[in-house]
Amino acid sequence: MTPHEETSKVTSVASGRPGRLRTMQAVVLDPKPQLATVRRPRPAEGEVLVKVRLCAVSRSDLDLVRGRRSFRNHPYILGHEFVGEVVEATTEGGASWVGRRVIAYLNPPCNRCLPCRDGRSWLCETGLSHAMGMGSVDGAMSEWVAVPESSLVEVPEGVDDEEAVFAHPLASALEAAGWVDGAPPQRVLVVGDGNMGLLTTLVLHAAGHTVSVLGRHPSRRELLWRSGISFSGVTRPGEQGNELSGSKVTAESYSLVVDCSGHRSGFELAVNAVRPRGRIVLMSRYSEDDGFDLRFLTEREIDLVGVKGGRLDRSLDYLQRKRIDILPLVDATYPLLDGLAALERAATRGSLKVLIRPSAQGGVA
Amino acid sequence: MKALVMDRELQVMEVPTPGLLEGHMRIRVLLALVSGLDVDIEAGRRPYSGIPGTSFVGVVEDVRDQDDRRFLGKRVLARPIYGCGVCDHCRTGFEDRCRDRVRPGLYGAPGGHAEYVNLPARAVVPVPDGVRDEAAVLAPPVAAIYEAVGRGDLPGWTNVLVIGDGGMGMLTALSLASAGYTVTLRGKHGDRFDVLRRHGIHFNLATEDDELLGERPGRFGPALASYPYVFEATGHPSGWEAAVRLVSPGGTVYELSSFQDRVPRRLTAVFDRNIRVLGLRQGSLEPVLSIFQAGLFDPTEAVGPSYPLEEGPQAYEHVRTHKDRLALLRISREGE
Ligand SMILES: [Zn+2]
Ligand SMILES: [Zn+2]
Repeated sequence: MTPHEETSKVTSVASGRPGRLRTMQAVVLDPKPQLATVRRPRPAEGEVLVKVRLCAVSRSDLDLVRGRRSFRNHPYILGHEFVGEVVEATTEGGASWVGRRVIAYLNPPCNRCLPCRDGRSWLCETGLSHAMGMGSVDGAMSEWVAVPESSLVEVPEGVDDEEAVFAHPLASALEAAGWVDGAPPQRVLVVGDGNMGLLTTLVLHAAGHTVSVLGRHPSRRELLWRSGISFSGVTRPGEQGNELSGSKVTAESYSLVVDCSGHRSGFELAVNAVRPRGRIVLMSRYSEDDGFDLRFLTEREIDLVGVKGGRLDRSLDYLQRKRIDILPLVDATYPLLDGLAALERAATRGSLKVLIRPSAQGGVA
Repeated sequence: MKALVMDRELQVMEVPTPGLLEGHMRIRVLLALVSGLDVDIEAGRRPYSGIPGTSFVGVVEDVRDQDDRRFLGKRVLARPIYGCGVCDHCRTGFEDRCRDRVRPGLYGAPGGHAEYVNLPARAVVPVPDGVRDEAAVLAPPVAAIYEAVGRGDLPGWTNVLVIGDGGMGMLTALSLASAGYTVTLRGKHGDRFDVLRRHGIHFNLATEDDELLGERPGRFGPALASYPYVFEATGHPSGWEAAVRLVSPGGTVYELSSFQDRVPRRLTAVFDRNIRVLGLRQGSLEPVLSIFQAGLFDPTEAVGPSYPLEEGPQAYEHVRTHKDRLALLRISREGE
């Protein structure tokens, strides 16, 4: 099929209002991912228009592509881990953003719910219905994107685009690191060696903790050893590729286990490894959640903490101070026109962070 | 001696009184609690054979070690868990991490649904004068509830939601109300309005068809979904579902029930809503006994009827079938 066959379907979501017929390329979910020519967004009152410089493929993008989550409302543009430049504003307040390099929260604060009033708008009760790239609002895997002013965070000098796109997962990693009790060095186990696992590992290591990683990609060993972090590959040959086995971990030996695996076997490993009165931090949704035996919760008085997002300004500040070398986590950068290949690469076992660069095809304003 | 013995089924039996080993004290049991844990054993949901009973008060009648003579004739409460006393974990106050930890009535040692129990001194805590047996046997669950403050960052004077108005839910609501929290209790029974009203606890009735939660999210509106602190005390799968949905995003669920039903619980909401779930089972007994002694809190309103040891199976029956879910076994009198 040609991109233009898609255009007529897609224009209605990309911009709700009639206007000059300016188009752009975008990675659209409908409900399968496709590259489409869509109408360029026009910012509504209180929004700004952002020219996207770089957009990462996130874990939730992949969940949507694989159909693990669905928001219907197809078609819509994927992506929220972007960095871009504000090129147009709709309000006087917004005008001050023009020309600045920004990233954005998934949703604007509603300012009414408990998390918003608590300064944690990334947990907003109404968040999902206003979340970029999640069905109701178009995301940033495109040349331009309209973003609410109240979602914006400026990227400081000294933070490259390739670093700034990590702000979202880094915010979660920093939240997770905040759950370590006691002064460093504490012994921490990280289960899972995907992006989230590695990022969390680097952050914990930089904070002075002694981190062990359980993963299924032996290729990670070198990446971690360079930082002085021990890695145990735990793939069981012949088993399903996602299985983790914990033969290398002493039972009930860690006060903190961070599970970034997203798999049942990873969670079971974490439960086995955590001490009585220890803590397990959950960093991802589980691929199959038909329920878990949670008797250990009260039997061993475990503290189970879900971590989903965190402060973006804190991430950017952390990146500016160059606390960790994040660039080795970039797997590959694709031009927007190869957006589908980028999704495919990101979904490949063992891949790291995949980035999409719209300007590579010389977008015209 | 007479004892309740679990061996495929629960029976009142005459068993040999155990000999007193070195380092142990003989305790004549006065009063014991029958709780959900014991019923789980009776129902075969927890593998255990022997004498059950995790929470009990008794009098020390005999000791082997000179050091323990100070306990003679004293009333003591059994600790729900104790360690070897010598390993690194035990010496740093983490007896629950001890490789040789014992939970009388659950594993490692017989429990207190019997006339006599032998325990080492480190396995008991003295009951202060003025604290009734009926209150003292409730100190272990109350201590677990108060652990929410210490381990779970529960700030003072805040709004909390308690899910479940059985014995454990009532005890939770009363404990938190006595500690100054503004408590809403959500449950199915609603038969204790008088007690709740007297303690200023709001009641929120869940009807049978919506069980304990909104099967349909949003049905209760933001008023119910805006509790940053929720205590789950039902032990039922619906209580878990209710807790992880009714807590506000970023909030904390304190889990007090032991999930012996083996029904799996879904975890997606824990991540999606950035929830913290803290399993609570025990806490420091001494401060709780001091609170009871000072008359600041009388927990006994949460308990159902008491039974003599001979009628032990009826006490279990009561806990299993009634909404009270807590009963007492009155085993002997102090002066006997
Ligand atoms: Zn909000
Ligand atoms: Zn020990």
